[in-house]
Amino acid sequence: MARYALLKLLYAVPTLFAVLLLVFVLTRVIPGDPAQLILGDQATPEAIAALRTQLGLDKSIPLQFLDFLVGVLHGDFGSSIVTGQSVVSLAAAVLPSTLELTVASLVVGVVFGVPLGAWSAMRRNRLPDIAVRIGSLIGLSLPAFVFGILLLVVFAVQLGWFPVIAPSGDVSVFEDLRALVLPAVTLGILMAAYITRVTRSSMLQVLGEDFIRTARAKGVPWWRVVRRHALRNAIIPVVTVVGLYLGVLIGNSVLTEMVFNRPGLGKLIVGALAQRDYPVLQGLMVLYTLLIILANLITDLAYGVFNPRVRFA
Amino acid sequence: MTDAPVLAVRGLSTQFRIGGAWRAATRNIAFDLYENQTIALVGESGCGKSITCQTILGLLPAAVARTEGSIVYQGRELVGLSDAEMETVRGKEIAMIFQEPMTALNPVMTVGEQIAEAIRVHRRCTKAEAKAEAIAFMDRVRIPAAAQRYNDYPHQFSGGMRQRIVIAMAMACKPKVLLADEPTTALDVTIQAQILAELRDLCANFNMSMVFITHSLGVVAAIADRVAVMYAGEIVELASVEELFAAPQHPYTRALFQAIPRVDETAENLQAIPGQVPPITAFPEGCRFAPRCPMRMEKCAGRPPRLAAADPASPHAVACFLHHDLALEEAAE
Amino acid sequence: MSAAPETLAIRPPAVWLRFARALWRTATANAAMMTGIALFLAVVIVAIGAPVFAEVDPLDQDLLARLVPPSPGHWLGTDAFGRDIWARIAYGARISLVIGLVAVGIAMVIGSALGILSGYMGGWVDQAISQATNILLAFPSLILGLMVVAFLGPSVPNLIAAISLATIPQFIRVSRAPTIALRERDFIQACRALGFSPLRIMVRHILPNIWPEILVMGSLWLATAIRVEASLAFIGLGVKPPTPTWGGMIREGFEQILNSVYLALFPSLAILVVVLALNMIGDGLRDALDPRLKESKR
Repeated sequence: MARYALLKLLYAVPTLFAVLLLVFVLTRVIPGDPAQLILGDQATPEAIAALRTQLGLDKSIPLQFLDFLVGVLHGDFGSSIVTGQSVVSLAAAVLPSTLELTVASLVVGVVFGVPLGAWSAMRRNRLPDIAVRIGSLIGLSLPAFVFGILLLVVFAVQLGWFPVIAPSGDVSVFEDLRALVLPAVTLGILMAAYITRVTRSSMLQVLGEDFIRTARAKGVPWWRVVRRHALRNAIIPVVTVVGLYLGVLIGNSVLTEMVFNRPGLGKLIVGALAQRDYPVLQGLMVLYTLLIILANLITDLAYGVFNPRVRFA
Repeated sequence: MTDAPVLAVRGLSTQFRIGGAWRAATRNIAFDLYENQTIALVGESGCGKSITCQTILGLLPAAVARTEGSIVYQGRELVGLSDAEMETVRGKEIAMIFQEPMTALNPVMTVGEQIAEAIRVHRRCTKAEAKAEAIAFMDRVRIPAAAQRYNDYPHQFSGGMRQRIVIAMAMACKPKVLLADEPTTALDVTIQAQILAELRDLCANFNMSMVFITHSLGVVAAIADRVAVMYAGEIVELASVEELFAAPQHPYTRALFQAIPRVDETAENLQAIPGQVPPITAFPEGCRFAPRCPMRMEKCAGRPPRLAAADPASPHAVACFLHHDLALEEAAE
Repeated sequence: MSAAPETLAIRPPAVWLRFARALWRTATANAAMMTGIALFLAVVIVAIGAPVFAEVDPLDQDLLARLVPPSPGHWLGTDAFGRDIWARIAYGARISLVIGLVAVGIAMVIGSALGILSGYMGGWVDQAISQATNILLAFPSLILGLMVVAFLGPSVPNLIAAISLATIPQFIRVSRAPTIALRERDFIQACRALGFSPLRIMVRHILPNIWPEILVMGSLWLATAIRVEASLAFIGLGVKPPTPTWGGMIREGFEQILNSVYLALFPSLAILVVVLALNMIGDGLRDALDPRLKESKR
């Protein structure tokens, strides 16, 4: 299994390289001179020239790319041009908060999505099925921020059950979790909508399989057939889809963090956008790629756990 | 042999909901299964053999299928039992094995777990006891190194071995009746013979009766005591193997025999039955075989013939006006 | 549906006809799909006829009527500058639809062309295209769009480019796999034996067979594209204000949420209606296409 994981990581190297190239190219096609952008309109030509040398912009493009690569390999993504802090430390400070949100919403998605999808499949074309199908369709039609705003207004502003703004600094675990509920539900609903649909169709397929009939023929009670035979098989494609949509989840965490004013990679990226903080943007893009590669790896490994046919030698 | 049958089926009809209307897929199915006996249901695909077996176990979904008639197992009426009541019958009293060993097993459960589950749903016992018993059954159906293979998954077995596991699972609670739905059709010829021998052996050792579905008359000769030939949802001929093979009466049965290739005859004598089995929505009014029958008479299109013995002294029954004049009283739906 | 595909595929129109018939059957039998089509057409009509439906200019400020709730003069109320929300939604539909349709249209053409090429040619062409696809697929469309727009600047063409880029790999994926399956089929082999050029085979014989699947993908990704565009606008990367965009309106509405909920509510509903309609159409198309999902009796 470790070997398999290593191999998978090795496969990710070209992807990572391509992303680095893309990031590099994007930063070079920005209209205007980065040094000019950084220093602003009032900068003297001397200052700009000095900064160009400092940033290595006076070198040839391939050399610049090489510098960039070497830096990345050393874990050096440069520093924010706004605060001067290193990109790595900026990202490291907020990464746990984003991961916490992602994992929590994944849990919400699975806890609601799988049972609802299975229930819907078993009541096919009856009222519960129709209700669940309409619900999941609405769930995946709403942009994350719309649902977030709705929850925020109702549960935080009107009812006051949850904080409007995430508390920062040292807070108790309870306060931290309380602040996590609404953002996690916002993202989790999106996830649950996807998971419900996949679970439903996969469950419908599995319920028609021969081995379900075999289990029933040996007298296994229906509820146990569903739990032990149908669900265990129906969950396999769900794992793949969850893995695929982890990316969507990470993407939508940007919106959720904005709505709930929650520290995290999303807030960082939006802040960097507003201030045209290119080193931070570059670094975050690479970090997102790493996260997604990691998510795919975990998905692959989880797939093996659920599906004995692809256990790794 | 005791006189009372283990399983007595009377006037059994399975109906499916097709486009809002209920259509009978099988009609007036009746047979007795005695202890230690094997009855074979023979016929082309789509004639209602599998449906009949699944109806006996109540496996068809209630939303699309309903049952009329009577199925009496050891004096107990099975038609109309709730699903929970049927669960105590399935596997424990009447078990079933299927045609496709490749798909009949749950791919994400070890084969041992699946056999042990059959034991544990019917009897209070510890996991270890169930496991020991499952291994014993795997051994019994001649799976090599049964104890080691307990934790293997179905995909790690060959087709023949999987069918043995399906059989071990069905035998796990020592049922009185085994419904075997073409258990050898998907297997190689040599494996077929092994599985047939295995089933015969198990029936004898466990005092078990069997309903054996097949479309092959060769298999019938090898395993059955009595034969029910089915066509388009009805039994058209019911007789002992010896009688049926010696003197088939129904034109359909005769056509089946003529469709078997034989070495000692030229290919010209090999006759395919013209036409096809009608679909469930287009069963003919009278005798359902009439449109394809070479000996069709005028009255065949009128009323359906009843399954009855031509000679009252013999148990050899046939549903054909060539042999008697008895018609099914009730009108066809 | 059960007719042999080989005979149909030699005459592409038959495939069209078969699909059109399946579509008509589904649409008439599938209430959800009918609703979806009706809703989407309604939005398109509002977008095209925005000047007719909204008499007020969406940019006209009326500082005396700020944050007015829905009233006869302003059906859906006004925003913080006293601009009519209904007018802004009607004109905003143009931005959403134009960006969505053009971006997905471009992605559909480029993506399916690359996908068919990749599947049909195989070898290094396939390798190169598949690798690039996998890399782009690794990215959430929102992050990719965000990055591209952040660096290139927010304008309609750049937004279209960003969303296309994020969507192309989806179309490559959906057209490549069936092309590989078709390549081995007899009728394609026959075309090759007859000496047809690869281009002709790909355009005249493969495309008509996989076109329905591409269309399903198109409707579902149009929904996603509109959602992504709104999300980008919400982040502040949409078409520059004061041009009305739904995402931008929600952003403004969010800032004013304690003063007036209508400002955020109505554009949210607009997005919901369009995306829901497209998803319903996509689901219906998929059902029409996939006979496995139909009611089956065993």
